[in-house]
Amino acid sequence: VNATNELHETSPRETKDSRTLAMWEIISITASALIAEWAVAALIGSGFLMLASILPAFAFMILSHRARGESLRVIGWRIDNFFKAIKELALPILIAVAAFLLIGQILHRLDANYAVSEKWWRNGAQATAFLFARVTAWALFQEYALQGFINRRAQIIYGKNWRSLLIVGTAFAILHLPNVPLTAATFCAGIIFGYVYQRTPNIFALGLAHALLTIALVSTIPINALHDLRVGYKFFG
Amino acid sequence: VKLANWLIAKSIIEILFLIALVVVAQYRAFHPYFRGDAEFAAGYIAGWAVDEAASASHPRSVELQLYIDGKLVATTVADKPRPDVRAHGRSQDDFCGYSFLVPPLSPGAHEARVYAVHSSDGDARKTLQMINHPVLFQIEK
Repeated sequence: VNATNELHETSPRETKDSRTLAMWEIISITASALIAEWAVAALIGSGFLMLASILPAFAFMILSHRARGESLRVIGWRIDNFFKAIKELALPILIAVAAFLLIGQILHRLDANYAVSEKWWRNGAQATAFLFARVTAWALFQEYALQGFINRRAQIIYGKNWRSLLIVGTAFAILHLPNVPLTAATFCAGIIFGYVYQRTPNIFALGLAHALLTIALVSTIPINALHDLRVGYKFFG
Repeated sequence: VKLANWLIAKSIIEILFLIALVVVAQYRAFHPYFRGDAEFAAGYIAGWAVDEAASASHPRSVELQLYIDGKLVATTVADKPRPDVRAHGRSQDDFCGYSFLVPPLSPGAHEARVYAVHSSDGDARKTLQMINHPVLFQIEK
């Protein structure tokens, strides 16, 4: 059983039918997120119904894991490889933060608008701590959906290679349209995080890194350049 | 097969959810209960307008906007007495009439449209719905 699990964990290649189904799963989950971002946001704005709109997708992801025999550990909800994953993420994060600082400096010279984070800090330490917790929780959820689900399904189709990483990066980028800077950033982040996940699957480490990058991004780049982190239909509002 | 069925079920749930959302959003934004009439006579655009969703115990006067040749000209509320409308069973009370004084216009053909204003989402959004049909009229030299 252990040998089978390990094989499934490292190389989840399956039959042609399974690969076709995996592709449909990726398309379906990405479509659900797009529906929430574009259609639900346009019709009712944000709020409870927006959250409710992704519940079928969330339920499906859980059912899919069960149907494919993927345990929490296999998906990446584990702590044994946490520090290994953090070690692998350290260099890309440092490079990204340095790039944010550099781009931020250049853009601040061109346009002295404050960064998004200044608005965040204004509300006091407790509110800021709550906000950090929210950003981290949201980052964990995104990494689970992107790596724990989409990356794993992409691996079923193509295995651990650049094609499956391209699918992960593209799916993540599409969800950040029409915000061009965020789309570009998430395409790169999706590929790099996807690569780390394929080597060392750990959602906690990826979620933490995702949250740190988000905080670094909003602390360095001017608000106008990021368009207030708005994506989907809300980008225009 | 099980996974494919779940995928189909998920898609059906999402489609039904979206359809329900579209209908509710449309209903809230474009209140489908405005009725009324508009006509041109003696330098006025006048008529009546009611919100059929309003009850007799909580009558609501309809807010109206007049557009002439596509431009907003005036706003008013349909709260003038029109007992004839009530007598025909189209209004819960007598106070559903309105009249707009037509401003000076160049001689020739013009088009007036009277719109009912509807607020939704706690006044965050306002939509306009035309009362009856566009009113075509002539201004003589």
